Amino acid sequence: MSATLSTGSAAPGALGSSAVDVRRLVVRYGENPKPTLQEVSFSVPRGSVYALLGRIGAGKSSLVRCLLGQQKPTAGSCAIFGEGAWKNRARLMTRVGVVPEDPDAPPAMTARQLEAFFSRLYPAWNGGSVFDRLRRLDVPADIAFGSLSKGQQTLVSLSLALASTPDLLVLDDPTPGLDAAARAAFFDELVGELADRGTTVLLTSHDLAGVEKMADRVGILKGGRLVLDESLESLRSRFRRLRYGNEGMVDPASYGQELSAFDSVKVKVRGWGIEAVVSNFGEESFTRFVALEGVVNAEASALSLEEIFAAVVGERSPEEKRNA
Amino acid sequence: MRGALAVAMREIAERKLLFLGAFVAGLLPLAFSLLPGLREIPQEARSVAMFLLATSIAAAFPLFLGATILASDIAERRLAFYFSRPLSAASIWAGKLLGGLLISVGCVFLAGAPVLLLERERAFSLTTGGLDPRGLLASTLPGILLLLLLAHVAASMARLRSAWIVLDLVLAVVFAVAITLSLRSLLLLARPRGSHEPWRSPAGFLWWLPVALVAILLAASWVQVVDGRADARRSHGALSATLWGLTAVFTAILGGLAWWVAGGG
Repeated sequence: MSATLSTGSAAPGALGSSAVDVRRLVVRYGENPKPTLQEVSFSVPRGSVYALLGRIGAGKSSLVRCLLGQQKPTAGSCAIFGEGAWKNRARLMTRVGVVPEDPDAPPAMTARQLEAFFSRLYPAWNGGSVFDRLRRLDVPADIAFGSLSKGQQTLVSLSLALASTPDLLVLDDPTPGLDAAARAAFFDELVGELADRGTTVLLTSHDLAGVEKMADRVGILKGGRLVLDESLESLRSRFRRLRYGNEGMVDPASYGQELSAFDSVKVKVRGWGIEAVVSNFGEESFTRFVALEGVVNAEASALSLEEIFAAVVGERSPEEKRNA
Repeated sequence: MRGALAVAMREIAERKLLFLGAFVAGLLPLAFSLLPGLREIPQEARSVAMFLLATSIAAAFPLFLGATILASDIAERRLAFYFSRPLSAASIWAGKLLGGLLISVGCVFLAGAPVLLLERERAFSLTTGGLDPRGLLASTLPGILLLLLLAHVAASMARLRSAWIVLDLVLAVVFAVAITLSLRSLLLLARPRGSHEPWRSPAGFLWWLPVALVAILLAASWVQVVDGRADARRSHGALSATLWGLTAVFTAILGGLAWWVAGGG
């Protein structure tokens, strides 16, 4: 078994046409011998929605902090609209809206006070849109930020981020702690914004169902490395779940060998037969597979992003496999 | 500048109740003249109470604000709120410190205002031996700034919880001993006031010491915010490296001066 987790299609867009360019980014904390991020490179084309996924501790928030110029990378670079994020942070932030993982506005300030504060900082500020959104989302504008629920705080942060009419929106795992209704409202606002303005979005999230609705492109971080960087369409087309019976096999240890034409990410023997997740599905390969001696009742089904993510991050690296 | 003012105004707006509290507290000294035993000296009672209150606020507020206004934001990872906005690091630093300074100074004057309005010049002549109010203002402002910065630096070291704290403690002791020894030598060798060589005047040294301290603390906290940004560990590193680097230079200059003076220079 081998996994094809490398870039399925080339990252579109030259340097100049990208909203975000991360090049060979390394982040190391203290004397920890293992970097949190190891040589991570990717681009986010303008107008696209890029979802950066990974398990907790994969390095997503470190990457976002470097990208926003809040943290200096150990090595490598992050650029927004072609300009270095560390050096030009203050200027770049006029074009960037941020919704952080933990809403970090001063707890004593109300949404109205935050709006007044932000209006002094952004050249293209649309203050009316903040109150329109808050009214629509049923979030009070005159209650201290610290007294709002986590979901309401996130929606205030999103409303403020969108009011700066940003060219790039950075959402760092904004939905944990939100109930289903707040999550739906959050993603609906985003989808509406994207339809209206075509804003570029870089999103890290564990809410893969929400991500799947809007992402064009997906990157997956695993163990500090970007193990996948690909369009969602391409991912969906090449990942499939295969279910089949194998009447020709007697020895259970040899189950799965008939999948040699595929890169199998996961193979499980079930009571009724074999279930496998493959990462290089193709109609021709599947036709040949179905014709193999002993393979019966073969069917291929599409995977959700959540299933693809679980297959990719759940699989052991070649190094881990060797050690095992 | 616009960004710094916006940050400072935000800090002030968030703590506006402190102004009200200081003004209400400032009314209390007016009642002191009604207390038994103080009715005979109402003017003195009011003035002394007002100066005690103002001095307490001048010490407590900058210590409290210095420990919380910037250090807490860094320690609790809330400074990212500012760094996600089109604000330069220098604006964030200056705005936060300016906010703390204006709140402290404003509260000191609000606490003194009721008695000062009632007594006017007499309030000063009774309790300060006729000290000019402008002179009082001139010494209050740098004093509050020094306390604000000291509290910020101490709180940063204590709250950022990085390994730099060990170095901070060791170097604080080393430099305190070195500076004390140098000052002792200089003061012992110093000539009487009126000397044509100001570096040999004890009063001159005592004035320059807090000035140098404020300059070092300002530089260290500035580098802390500009270079450390929202990264607590890097922030502590930048603070400590700048603080102890500049303190080493200052100590070396002071030690060199002491050695030169002792040599009969």
